[in-house]
Amino acid sequence: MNNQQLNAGALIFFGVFILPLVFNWLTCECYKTSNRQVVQKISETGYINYEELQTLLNNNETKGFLILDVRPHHIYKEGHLHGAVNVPFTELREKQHRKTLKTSNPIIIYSDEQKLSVAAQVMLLGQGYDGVFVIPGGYESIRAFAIDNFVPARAFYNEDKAMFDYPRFMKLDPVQAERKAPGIFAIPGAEDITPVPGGC
Amino acid sequence: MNPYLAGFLLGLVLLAAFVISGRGLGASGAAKDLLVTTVGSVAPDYAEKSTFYAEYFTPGSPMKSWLVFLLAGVIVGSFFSGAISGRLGFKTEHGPKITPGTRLVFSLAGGLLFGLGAQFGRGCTSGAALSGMAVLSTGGILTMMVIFGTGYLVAYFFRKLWI
Amino acid sequence: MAPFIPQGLINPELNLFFALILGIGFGYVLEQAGFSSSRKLAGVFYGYDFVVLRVFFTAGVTAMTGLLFMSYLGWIDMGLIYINPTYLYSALTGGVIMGFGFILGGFCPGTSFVGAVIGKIDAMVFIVGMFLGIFIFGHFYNQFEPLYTGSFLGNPFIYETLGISRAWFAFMLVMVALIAFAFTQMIEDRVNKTDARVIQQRPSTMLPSMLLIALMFIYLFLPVERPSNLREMPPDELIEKIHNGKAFVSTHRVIHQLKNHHDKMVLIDTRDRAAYERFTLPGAIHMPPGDILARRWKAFFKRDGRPKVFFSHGSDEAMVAWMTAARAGYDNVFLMDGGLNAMFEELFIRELPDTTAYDLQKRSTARFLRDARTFFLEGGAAASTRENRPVLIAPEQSEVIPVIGGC
Repeated sequence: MNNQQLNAGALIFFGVFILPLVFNWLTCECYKTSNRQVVQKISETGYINYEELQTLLNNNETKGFLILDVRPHHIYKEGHLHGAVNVPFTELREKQHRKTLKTSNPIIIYSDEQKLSVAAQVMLLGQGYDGVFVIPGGYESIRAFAIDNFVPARAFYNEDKAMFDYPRFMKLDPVQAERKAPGIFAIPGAEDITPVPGGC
Repeated sequence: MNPYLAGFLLGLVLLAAFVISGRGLGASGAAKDLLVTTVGSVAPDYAEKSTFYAEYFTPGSPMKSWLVFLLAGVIVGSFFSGAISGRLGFKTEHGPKITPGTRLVFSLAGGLLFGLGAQFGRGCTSGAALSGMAVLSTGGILTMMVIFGTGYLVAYFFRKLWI
Repeated sequence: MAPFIPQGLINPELNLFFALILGIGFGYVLEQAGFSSSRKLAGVFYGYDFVVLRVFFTAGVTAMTGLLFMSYLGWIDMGLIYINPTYLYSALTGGVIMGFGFILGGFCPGTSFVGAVIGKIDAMVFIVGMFLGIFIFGHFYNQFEPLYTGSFLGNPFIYETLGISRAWFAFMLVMVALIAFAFTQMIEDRVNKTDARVIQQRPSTMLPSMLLIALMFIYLFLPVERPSNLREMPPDELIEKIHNGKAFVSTHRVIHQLKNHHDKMVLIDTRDRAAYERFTLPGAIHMPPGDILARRWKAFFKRDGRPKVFFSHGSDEAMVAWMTAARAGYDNVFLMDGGLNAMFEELFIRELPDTTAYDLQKRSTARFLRDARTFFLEGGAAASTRENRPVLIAPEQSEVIPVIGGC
């Protein structure tokens, strides 16, 4: 019974898995949350509507939240929401802002374009921050309908809602319209689990 | 060989099987393929009656299956190993209290049961138990526990065969 | 990554060759471990030789650890690996029968072949018995079938069945194996009345055991899924692409495709199912953000060379979808700037720009929009869908190519 080969084998086996792990940990400090989890978190958090924003801003007791302005510096200087902190979209990952972001929860994002706020939200969730929300609409509309004078009719405004009755404008082939969910399972051979023959 | 080293190497072979072919090792499946082919070619009328032999009649000879080739490798590998370790030679191993004849009878019975059981268990100790444990499959681990559990439960009654 | 053959990284024709090579390794190790001897194998049940348990558990634990780490590091796709199905009563029956077979015969199928090859006559007889057993199963297959195919539970994992985490189960399995090794060694020494000096001189297995425990301990504290890997697009690159607009495709380009029945881009609807069923752009496929990482779409993203354009009502869901897909390392993905709202506003609502403008570009844009409006209002989209059904460049028929003989 000689153990040298076993010891050597075990060490190599250990090294093969641990070294890439360490290497990955040292080099790739890209994301703190896996892609799958980000998608899941997005569906859970999402937006903060104008009414909720009103309540939040008018209630003096709530603390710790952060209103984040992700527009460029020069636009921020022209006018911004009261108490908003400016971290331009391109600087989201810079070290100097990390402390501010880390100590705040929830983080509430706005910008000129809703899609940019959402991009910032996805980015921050991927960096491991929790409770990241987006104020729908751009700065002007937030200013007009949520801050300066609250318009209840616009409370649930969101650019990502359907604004038109689409089928009225663009008539589709009735066959296509009736066909339920084409495409989803239409790829042959690309099922979720590919059967692997095996066993004995 | 040091059993832990042997186990480690076997584990690496198993891992390689998963990495290359996406499946574990197995032995009884090859036996089934061999039997299906034999029966199918010797008595096609008989084979046609049972769905068990359906594989023989589907395109792609079962003789060209992965497991049959694995078995061919096992034969080559173990012969090689036996040759270099000087263990080749005809021999019947038996417990001290039984004759070789008795041993062969029980060996036949054991083989019969194993062949039957491996069909129900969808694999033998290597196909179901070992590979199943490596992928943490419930079926594999269950089969493994039942095989060894039964073995220990009935070991006492068959002790004369071995000790 | 692995498994190579199901992924199509190695020619499937070579699968049988690798089977042969693996078999040689398998047979060699089994024989070297002493598995060609029935007395040695049966020893596990009587305490005089636990070599079966040692080899078996070491192999199982090694392969399991390897698979766990390879799966974590993204080297192997566990979804493509054969997981033994669980047919509860069939497995129990088979296990009991095999338990008896083991005690009586002293071999298991794999080891019997090994024994027979090097000349063990009992092993050869065992193999004959085994064929008889399989033949009996085949003969009474119609009677056995309800049991054989009944109580199917799918392909569950043991940790799911027990309701604990994978890492904990693996850790406990390793600990149980190590304790069993030490314990059976003690029993074996007592049964065989091994000399105390021999026991003392036995080499220590401390280092491998410690390394194994360390590996499992580390695995215990790893997150369930690796937060990021090298194949993913770095976040700075994502930010850059959004910032300089490379992530976007203008609504004009999409309108152009729809109007001219082109099939140059794949339109992907990221809205919810209800919205999709009510209306979608001609030829669009449905894929909410949560579905993008699903395996069934992976081949599509990797192999369909056309640009893939996400759209939603506005740009939000499409943005989430785009960021997910781009981060996952899928090339050639874009999102439609402004979404359906912007597109319809431009097409149908907004006042048409001046088609007689002096600026050439403005004039052609205006004409383009005017023609498109007429086209769609007259039901052109319907014709477009009829003539131009979405044709996905499907991956090969099956990822696992059945091995069919060529002779």
